[in-house]
Parts: sequence; C-alpha cells; structure tokens
Amino acid sequence: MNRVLSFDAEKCVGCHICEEVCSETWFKTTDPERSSIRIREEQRQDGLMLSAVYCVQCGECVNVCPVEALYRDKRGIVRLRKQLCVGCLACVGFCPYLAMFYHAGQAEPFKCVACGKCADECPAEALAVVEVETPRAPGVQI
Amino acid sequence: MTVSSLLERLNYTFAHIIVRVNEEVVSPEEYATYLIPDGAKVLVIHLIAGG
Amino acid sequence: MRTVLADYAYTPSPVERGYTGRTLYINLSDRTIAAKPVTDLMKEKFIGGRGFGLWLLWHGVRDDTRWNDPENEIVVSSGPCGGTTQYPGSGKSLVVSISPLTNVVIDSNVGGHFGPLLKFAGWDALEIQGKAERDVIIIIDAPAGRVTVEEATNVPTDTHLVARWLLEELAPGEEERYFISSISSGSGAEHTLWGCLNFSLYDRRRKELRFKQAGRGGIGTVLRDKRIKAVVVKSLPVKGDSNHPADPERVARAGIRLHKEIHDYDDQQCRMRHRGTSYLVQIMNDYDLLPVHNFRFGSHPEAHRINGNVWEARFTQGLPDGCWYGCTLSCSHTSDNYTVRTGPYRGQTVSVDGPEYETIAGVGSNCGIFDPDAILELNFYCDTYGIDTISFGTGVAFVMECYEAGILDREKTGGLELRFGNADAAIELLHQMGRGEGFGCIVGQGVRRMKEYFAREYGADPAFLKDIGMEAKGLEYSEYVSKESLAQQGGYGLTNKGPQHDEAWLIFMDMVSNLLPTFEDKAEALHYFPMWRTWFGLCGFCKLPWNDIVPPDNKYMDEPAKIPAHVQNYVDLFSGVTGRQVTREDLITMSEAVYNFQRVFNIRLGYGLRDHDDVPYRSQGPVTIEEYQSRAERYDKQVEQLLGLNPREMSVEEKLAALRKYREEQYERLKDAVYARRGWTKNGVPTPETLKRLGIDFPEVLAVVQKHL
Repeated sequence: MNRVLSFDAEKCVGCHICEEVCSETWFKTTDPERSSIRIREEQRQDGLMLSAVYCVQCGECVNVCPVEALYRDKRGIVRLRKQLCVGCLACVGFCPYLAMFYHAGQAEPFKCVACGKCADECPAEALAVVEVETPRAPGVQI
Repeated sequence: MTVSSLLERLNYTFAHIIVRVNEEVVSPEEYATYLIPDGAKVLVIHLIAGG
Repeated sequence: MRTVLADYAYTPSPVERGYTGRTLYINLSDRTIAAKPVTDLMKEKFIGGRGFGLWLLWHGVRDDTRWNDPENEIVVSSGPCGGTTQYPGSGKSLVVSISPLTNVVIDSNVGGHFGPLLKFAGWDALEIQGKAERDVIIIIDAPAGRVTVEEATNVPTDTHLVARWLLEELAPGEEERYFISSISSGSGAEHTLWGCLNFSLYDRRRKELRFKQAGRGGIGTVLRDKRIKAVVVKSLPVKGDSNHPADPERVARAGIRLHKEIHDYDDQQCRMRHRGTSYLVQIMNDYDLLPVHNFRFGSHPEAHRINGNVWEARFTQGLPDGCWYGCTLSCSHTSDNYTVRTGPYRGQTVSVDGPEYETIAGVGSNCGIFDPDAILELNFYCDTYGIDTISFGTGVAFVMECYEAGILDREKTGGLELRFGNADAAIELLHQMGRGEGFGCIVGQGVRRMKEYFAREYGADPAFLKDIGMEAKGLEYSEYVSKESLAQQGGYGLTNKGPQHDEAWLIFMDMVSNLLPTFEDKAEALHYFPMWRTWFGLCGFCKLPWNDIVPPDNKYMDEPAKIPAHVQNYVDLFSGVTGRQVTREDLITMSEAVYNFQRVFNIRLGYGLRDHDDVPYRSQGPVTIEEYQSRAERYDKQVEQLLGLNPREMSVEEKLAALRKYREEQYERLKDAVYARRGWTKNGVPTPETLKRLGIDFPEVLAVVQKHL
C-alpha cells in the first residue's frame, strides 16, 4: 500500500489555503512558490476549471537521481535525503507531473510527502491522504 | 513528389533535419503528404552532430 | 607500503563564482609543491580549462622543450562552470601538454569527476612538472588539507587495477568513495606514443569505478614518462551550490529547461540516453562518411552489425549514465558483464566503458572489423592499457592497408596477418603494446613515424605512404571521412592540435546541405565553429547537450545550425556562475583570444605555420583507382562540371590526377580564405593587429610572431 494525497476537483473552491499551509509548514513562510501543491486555474467556456499539481508518488524520479537521494519509504512515499542531494534538478525536469519543485532559496528540490496538513486545513474538504494499492504509473502526463 | 519520398531518394536518414520548401518550414508530421511544387527551392538542413 | 616524498598542508579555498583563485603546482624533480594565485588577467583573458592550461604551460616550458623533457607539464583544469550540477554536461576538464606525437601543444577533453572535484578540493588547475626517480602517486586530500607525492610498493599500472587499488587504499568506506577521482594510464602508455589518460567516476548504482578518457595526443605517455602511476583527488562533498554562482536561479532555470527538453525529445531524436554516441554509426554509413578500410570508403554492407541498435541492446538501460552529476543526456553507457577473452585479464567479467562512436568506427569499421565483441575486447584493453582508441584504430587501419598492399608481410609483423577484418591480429598488436614487445611497439610509434620506418626499413614508396597515412601534424585522424567536404578537410587540417573533430564538424552543413558554397562561407564556418567549440573547453562544458538534443522550435530560427536557444542557455550559465554579463558574441571573442594564443604557442615551439597545416591526400580525395571507382559517377561528374574535362576520354589515372590537382589547389585557397578571416598572414601567423584586438599582444607573444612577419 502507498500513501498519497488525493484531490477532488468538484469540491475545490480555489481558495489556495492549501498552498499557504504547505509553504508555512515546510518553509516557515507564506509563498505559493514554496508550496508542494499548486492549484491551477483555467478559464474555460463553461466556467473556471480548477486542478491540482502535486506528487502522486509514482517513483519516476527515483530512477533519474544520480546519487540515489530519492527513495520510497515504508509508507510508499517518495522522499528526498537532502544530505545526499547534489542539486542537479534532474528530478524536476523529468517528473511526468511537473510536481517536483525548485525554488531559488534552496539548492535541493521539494515535493509533496503526503503529510496531510493541507487536507486538515482545506475548508472544502477537497483534499485527503489516502492509501492506494499501487502508485500512479510513471510516464502518464496530465 | 512528397517530402518523404525526396528524403528517401536522397537517403537522408538523420534525425535532426530541417526541411524548407521555398523558405517555408515543413514539419515532420507533414512530410508524407507535403507535395513539392515544380521548380521549388528545397533546403534540407542537417544540424551538425559529430561526437 | 607508502613513503611520503613531499608533503604540503593547505586549507581548501572556497569556490567563489566558479573559481577558487588558486592553482596547484607540483614539481616531481625537486619535490616541491606550491600554490599559485589565479590572476585577474587569467580569468579575464583565459577563462579556465584549456585557457588556464595554455597559460601555465607557456610559462613553464622553453622554446625547445620536448615532450619528454622534465620541463614539459601536464595541466588539468575544468573551468568556472565546471562542477555545476544543474545543467547537463557541466563536468568536463581539459588536459594540456606538449604531445609526443606532434611536438606541439595537445589539448584533450575529458569527462569523469576529477576536474570538478579538483576545484572542490580547492584548486582551479593542477600543474605537474618534472620527473620522479621512481613511480609515484600524487594525492590531493581536501578533507585532510594535504597534498602528497608518495612512493608505494606494488601499485598496479593498468587503470582498472590501479584505480581500484587506490579506492581500497584511500576510501575503504562506501560513502568515502563518492567524492574521489583518479587519473591513471596503463602499460600501453609505457611502450607507445598513444598513451591516454583515464579519469574515474564512482558509479553509485553499479558500486564500481568507471572511466572517461582524455584520449588524444599521448598525454598518458607523458604521465608514465614522468613516472606517475596515478593522481588522486578527494574533495569535500558536492552540493548544488558548490560553485557558489553569482545567480544560482538563472543557472537552475536553464538546467531545468534542458532536463525537460531531454526528457521530452531525446527518445525521438538521437536516443543518447539509450545508445549514446553509437547512434552515429548508422547515420555516417548512410551518408557515406563512416571510415572503412583506412578511410578508403564511407560505408560497408556489414555496418548494421555495429550500429546503434546493437549497442542499445548491449548497454544496461535505465541507469543515470551521466559522467558528471546532473547530465541527463546520459550518453556515457557501459557494456556490463563482459567476459574478457584474451590477454592477461582473460576470464574476468568487467564493465566496458563504451564503446563510443569513435571507438566503434576506429577499431571497428576503419579496420574492417564488424564484430561487436571484438570491439568490446579492443575497447577494454585500450582503456586499461591507457591507449587512445582513435589513434589505435586509425594507426592499425594504416598498417592493414600496408599489409594488403604488400608493404608488410608476416615476417615483418612477427607472424601477424594484419589484413582488414582480422580482429585477433589487432588484439594481439594491442597486447604487444601492453607487454612492450613485438611489432606492436613499432605500430605504437604512430602513423608519422611508421611512414618513415616503413620507407627506410622496408623500401616502401614514401609518396604512397604519405597519401594513405591518415595523420596531420603527427596526430592520427579521428573517425570521419572528410574526402568530399572541403570544409571538413579544413575542419581537420586547420586545427591547432591536429585532426580532431572537436574543433569543427561541418560535413553535413557543407556536403549534404550545401550551406557553405563559397570560400568565404567556409571560412566563416571555420571561424565560428572552432571558436564556439573552443569555448566549451574554457568553461568546463561538454558540447553534446548543445546540439545532440534540439528544441522543437529550432527549425524556425535564423541560423538553426547554431541552435540559438541553447547558445542563449550558455550565456545564462556563464553569466549566472561568474557574474560577468556577456553576450553571445562575447563567447566567440573569449575563445578567439585563447585559440590565437595557442597558434602562437605552436609557432614558438617551431611549428604552427602554413605548411604545418598540410593534410594527406586520402583526406581530400581518392588516392587509388579502387577508391575512384567506388564513387565513379560522382567523381566523373566533378571532372566534367568543375574541371571542364571529358571523363569519357580519360583513363582512370588521368582522372585521378586531374581531380587531385584541383582538390589540392582548393585546399590551398581554403587556407588563404581561413587565414584571412582569422586575422592571420598568408603563412598562417596571427598578425600583431589581431593579437592587439584580442588583448593578447604581450611582449613574449609579439616576439614570437615578429620573427615570421
């Protein structure tokens, strides 16, 4: 079983509180560019479409990392060992979901680790941490 | 003839080529159907490679 | 048992905007070790890498220094951008020395970890001069803050053994191995002039050492002549900001852009991540440019047996095979689990680093060998014996043509039937080079000396040998057939170091796309591309990510052959690391200064003039009737259209002679056009005006050119 974040687009109201909570939790600052979840808004003919970009723990980045800094932990979450990371950002370029993020304030990239803080705070109950049988297949781009 | 058949005739198998017919770029998707007009200026640019 | 002969304590300088500000000087004759400052002039004019190498070597040698004098130096330097992890191909180093083959400066480009780790150990360059009495190892240990020159007993010579010995001696723990790299050569470098250097990298997934080569020019021979078994560096751990760039975000964004491009398009383009440079074999064959039988022909019906598909199946897939951290073009593949068939390491199961295109074409098709296992055997032993696969391939191809022409026979070769395709004989020659006995040691003197030897000792026709011996300036040609491309003949002939393709590769532009119809067009290309490619070697970059991956909108750009979006990446990288704001044009001017300095250096050493840029006729056109007939239609058309003669009324010999006269004249005219464009005299000497424009009109530089004006 693998732990992973899940998002319900129907429920999302586009408040971006999840982005604030995530960046505050992990970087002690409110900055959507330092959030591991990004809410995208796209104006369509039939209204505003909301989607979420976050790591689905597919594991593709594990293969691309030259120093084996990325690994899957006991709960199935893909984690980064910062002390091993050489900051090459290959994982950022190769993530099929564009869900590995880089910010100039830090040499190592960052991603969702399904900590659940955003799910706790989401006023629309659009986010939840769930267990899935197998992680989403790599190479499937949104 | 089409761009595809021209490339085949010349045995141009290189991946990084650019085909321009009368200054207009022809995309790879169009090679099979793009007909080269008579007297057209055709340029097949091979991007430099070499190890 | 290790004995320390020289000991130097230091505190590694931090890297600031790509530079540590110090170079390390080691003299093996008087056992001194010292730090030299990196001056503003060096950074401004010589940048790093090859530039630093040339600058330090210039000041270290005399006008008459030979390759095996103690004054000769080996200088290793990466460059300000070397060691960057975000942008693919940012870990290259340049090694500079006076070459045993050419007697002028060789600059040899190499991957692996040594150069960047040298910087992160506190040194912008390593400069080794002098000679040791007995074999030594040099250890640069940043965590310990110490540089030592040591004698040690029972140190192996061949690379795959000595590198492993060093690892066990200096890094018993797994994690200690991450930031160690060694330079070594092998027993073949002790008995030939073709010695190469092997730069190691520790492969964390395979948990073993792999090697990249500074192949050209015989620097491995210089290394062993100085009695160096190995140089090792242990650096502080590498991080994303180890270069301490001026604008890390600018660097990182460029890197992410290119990683994404490689992810999206490499599979449909060159498939470097799957097959490395081996993809070129089939293409060269299709375009009649693959060297076959000593560059006589450009294709062969059996080429498919050694093409990219075959190697993709041999290489272990799915591993991050970059030769420096962060290279996602990952061209550096390995044929794992190869069981060695012959020689002293017969029966060992090894990982062969490669083969690369040059090796496949050199020891393979050029020698008429189309068996992948034979190529792997040759690749493995060339690497561990420390022998350049390109010189070996081109040199053995020359020997095979001499054998088939009756110049050599089994008596002369000690029983080896050196016909094209005889892989066993080629492998045995290589073992002879390792052992230091037999005909292999004559072959290993290189094509230039073999020509003299065969004429003198065997009465061979020196004119024929001159035509077919594919060397210029004393260095063997690398593996592309330049016969039908005047621009590429210049690309090989009008180089500083000798016929190595890393200056200009213009065959497609010229021959296929006909984008260089006039002399001025060719001269412009022979100005821009050598300068552009020189630039990579000043900064620590690999050129492959420049144009072996191409953005999809490149086709709509002006001058698509320059890959303008990628040139812009390099502007971002250089400015982002060093803080120097530059334009695309500035990159070319930077290189011009170093390139011209190197030309003057060659002149200073007694060469570097117009006649030094002569090339063998096999590189320009058909030497033999057989070659003419293999492309008769094309050549007859040229005889008719370009020469205004009637091929139907001429014998093959007459047509050969007419075409030859024309092509040799064309090459002389090309020299004129190129020298003019480069700001040189008709004799190939950089003018004082040019030197002044480039800011390298130092008194000692002007003094050299004055003698030739």
